[in-house]
Amino acid sequence: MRNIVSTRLMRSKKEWKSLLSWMLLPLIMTVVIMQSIESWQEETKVPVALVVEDETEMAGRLVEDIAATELFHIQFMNLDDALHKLEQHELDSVFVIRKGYEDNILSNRRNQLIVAFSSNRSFANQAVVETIASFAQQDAARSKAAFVIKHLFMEYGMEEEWHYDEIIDSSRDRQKSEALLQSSFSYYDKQNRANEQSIPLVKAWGVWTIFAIITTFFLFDWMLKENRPSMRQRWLFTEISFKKYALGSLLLLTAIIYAMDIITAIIFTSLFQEAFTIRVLFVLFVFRLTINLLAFLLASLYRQLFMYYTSGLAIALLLAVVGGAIIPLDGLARKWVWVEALSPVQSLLNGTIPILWLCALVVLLGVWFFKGGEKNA
Amino acid sequence: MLEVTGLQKKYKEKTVFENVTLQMKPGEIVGLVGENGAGKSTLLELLATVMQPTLGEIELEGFSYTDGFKTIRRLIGYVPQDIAVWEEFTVEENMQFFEKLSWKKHTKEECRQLCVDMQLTQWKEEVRSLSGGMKRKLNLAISLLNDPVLLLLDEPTVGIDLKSKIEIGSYLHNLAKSDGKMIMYTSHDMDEITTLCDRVYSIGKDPFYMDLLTKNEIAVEQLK
Repeated sequence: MRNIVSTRLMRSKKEWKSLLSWMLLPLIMTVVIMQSIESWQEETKVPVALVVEDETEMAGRLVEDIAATELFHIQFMNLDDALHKLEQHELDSVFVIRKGYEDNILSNRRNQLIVAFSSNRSFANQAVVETIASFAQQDAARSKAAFVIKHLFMEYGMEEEWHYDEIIDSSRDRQKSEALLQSSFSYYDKQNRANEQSIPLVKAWGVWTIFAIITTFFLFDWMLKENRPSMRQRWLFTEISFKKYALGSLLLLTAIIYAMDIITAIIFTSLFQEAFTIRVLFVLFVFRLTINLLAFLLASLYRQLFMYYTSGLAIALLLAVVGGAIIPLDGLARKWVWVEALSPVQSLLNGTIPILWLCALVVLLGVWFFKGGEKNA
Repeated sequence: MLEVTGLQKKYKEKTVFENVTLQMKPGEIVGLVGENGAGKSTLLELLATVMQPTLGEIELEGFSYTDGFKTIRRLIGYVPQDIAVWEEFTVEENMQFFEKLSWKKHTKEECRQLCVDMQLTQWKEEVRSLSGGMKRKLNLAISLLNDPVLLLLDEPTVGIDLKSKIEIGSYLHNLAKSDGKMIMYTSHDMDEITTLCDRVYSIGKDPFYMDLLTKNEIAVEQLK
């Protein structure tokens, strides 16, 4: 094995630039694509200006609620600037949280809490108004409820003293704990996270798998280059046969590429808040092994590089599509369980092991090692 | 000792050659001449275990080819017509690469000496920058790493300059006479064959024949 490793490293040393490029490409392409999608999503948000005149806690909470709305791109500015930008059609709408917002709510006065400005090109104004009004109405409704409760206590002469803020806070806690106004599908033990995070348009691992599979086929073209017809006869007269050398190389390359995959997982965690757990690393390793075996066995079938590359690209795209890397197949997978087994990509995205793929490929590897290969005597 | 008895090779219905019988002793250099497609390379490939014969027996140093190739291949050095080296490697790296994979282990100095012995001195140069002659020498040097008893060379000097041809010829002659290696050699160059070989066989087709050429016949072939 030591000789296989050292000869493999001798070959890899000569091709380190292309090796490194192919190994880095999935990571680079994923980061570029995800950043592009993110900035495109940012650009497609409705530009809304908020002029905050009231600096109370309730006004602050309203601002937080509005800013947390994914569809809005909120900009804070003074009224003059906001109206100027609105005239220039750089903004869709301008909202002014007027001074005395909290006082008016607490006094159960619900008129003119927020003033809205729009232009003749404010295509999303109606929707934005309704969304912001609903936040203000929440505050108002809570406030009214608190009033009614206090009034009832007074009317029936109950001694227990309820503070106004206590009732409001209690109402907020209740809303959160019972998820009265929002619900979201989530995995076991990820309830809080699922509620906090938005659902991305494209999954980082999904994008990565497309490039990872394509580049894996390029990373295994040595199977053809190093076993070209003239070299094939050389391998007959070596103590270490090409099959043993190829198998050793497969293991070594899998280890090297997997190290790169771990770096990718770490970067994805910091950039895209993807999970980084032992389970993720294990699933990633099995995916890497599966894809490497696939590329290795495919390369053993071909003699011409062009045909190998063409087939590799076709298989990569097919696996990505069938695996839900491009179009999510969650609905189909819920309906037909076998959809998950169609591609190892689906397994990686779902955090499962592509057991069927792995078993089939290991059996084929055994067949290749013990029976297939050269037709030489 | 190499003993070939009643060897036949057929591709489907087409017979390439049949009833080939010959013997080789240590230190002998045997030449094969003949027109293209006569079966020279096929005969070398059969002896090199690259192909299997349809009929016949081959024995090398008492080991029969029918008992498996693993032991036989350790005893053979095969130099194919195509140059099988890594172009992007230096001479040194090529020798080291194949030394690590070969049965017989050599030190770096022994590998370098092997190249120096055949006047291949560009140890640190990339193969792609070498002349055709130097590449052929490296091709031969790699085949010698296993220290074979039988060396099979398929047109080892094709397309190279006269100086390299003479150097390779001289090296092979020493290898046979000093080290007692058996060398079988194919070439279209009759001068080279007659200078180097102890015996020369002429191979022809339709119908197949394989004749041991006498000195007179060799002279006639040379005139052709």
